Amino acid sequence: MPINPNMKTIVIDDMMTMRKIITKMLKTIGFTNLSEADDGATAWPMIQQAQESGEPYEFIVSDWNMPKMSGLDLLIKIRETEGIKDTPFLMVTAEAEQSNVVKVVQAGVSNFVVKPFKPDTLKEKIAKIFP
Amino acid sequence: MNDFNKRYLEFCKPFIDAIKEVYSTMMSVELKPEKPMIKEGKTSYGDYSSIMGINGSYEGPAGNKKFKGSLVLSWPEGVYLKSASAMLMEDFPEFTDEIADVGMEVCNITMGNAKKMLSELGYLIEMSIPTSISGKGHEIKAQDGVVTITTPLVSEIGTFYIELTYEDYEE
Repeated sequence: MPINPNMKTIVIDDMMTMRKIITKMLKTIGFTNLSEADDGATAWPMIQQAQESGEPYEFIVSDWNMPKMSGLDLLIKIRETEGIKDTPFLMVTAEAEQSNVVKVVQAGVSNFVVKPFKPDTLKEKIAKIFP
Repeated sequence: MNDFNKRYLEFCKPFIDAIKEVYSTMMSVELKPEKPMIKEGKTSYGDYSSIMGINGSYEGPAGNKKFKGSLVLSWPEGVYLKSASAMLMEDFPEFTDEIADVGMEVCNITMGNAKKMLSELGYLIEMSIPTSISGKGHEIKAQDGVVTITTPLVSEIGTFYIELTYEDYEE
C-alpha cells in the first residue's frame, strides 16, 4: 500500500516541539491530512470518534514517553479494539534499548523510529510500513 | 581516583556523547565539550534550564547499587533561540510559547540516548518526564553534599552547559 497523501494521520506527542518537527517532516514527505494530539489520553477519544464517524485515522505517529497515557498503552488499546486494530502505528521513542524494542514489537507496532532522527530516516521508516 | 569517582565519570560520559548526537543530527551543530568543572553555588549558568531527575540501579563490577542524580541543560537566551531555530527549521528571534519546550525535548532525547549507553555499562535508568526553569540567575539546588559536574559545550551558535549529579548507595 503506497503512501496516499490524503491519508488521515494523527501525530501524538506531549512536546509541542516534537509535534511540530514531525508534522513538518510529514508535510515534506507529502502528507496533507494531519491532526495533532498532546498525549495518548487526548488522542484516544479522537481516534474513537474518528472511527465512529466512519472516517478513521489511517496512520498514527506517536511518542512513547507521555505523562497521562504512554504511546505503548495507546498502541495496546488500538490493537485490542475491533475496527481500528490494524491501523498502521509508528512509535517515536528516545529509548532504543533492546528491551523496549521487544515491548513495542510484541504489542504490534508497525515500525519505530529512535530520536534524534533526520527527515530521511523518518521517510524510510514510513516507507517500510507502506511499501 | 576512588571507585565512586570512576563510576561518576563513567556515568557522565554517555550524556556528553548523547547531547553531541542530538545537536549533530537534529540541528547540524557540532558541540565541543570543554573541561568539566565542579559547580560552585546554585546559580545557573544559563537563562533557561531543563531538568530531569534520575533514578536507577547498577549491576556491575562494583556490585549491586541504587543510584540517583539529575541531568540539567542550561542555555543562555541567545543560544537557546539559535538552538530552537535550528531544531524547528524556522527563525525565532525571541522567546515564545512555541519554543518553550524545545529545551525539555532536547533533555528528554539526551536522557533516552544516554540511558541506552548506560544500560550497556550496567546502569539501568527509569525514564522520567522533564521540567524547565527560566529567568536570569535562576537557581538549581542539588542535594546537600552532592557534587555537580558542569561541562561547557562550545559550538558555532554559542556555549551552553550540561550539569550532572550522581550519587549511589548500597541496596
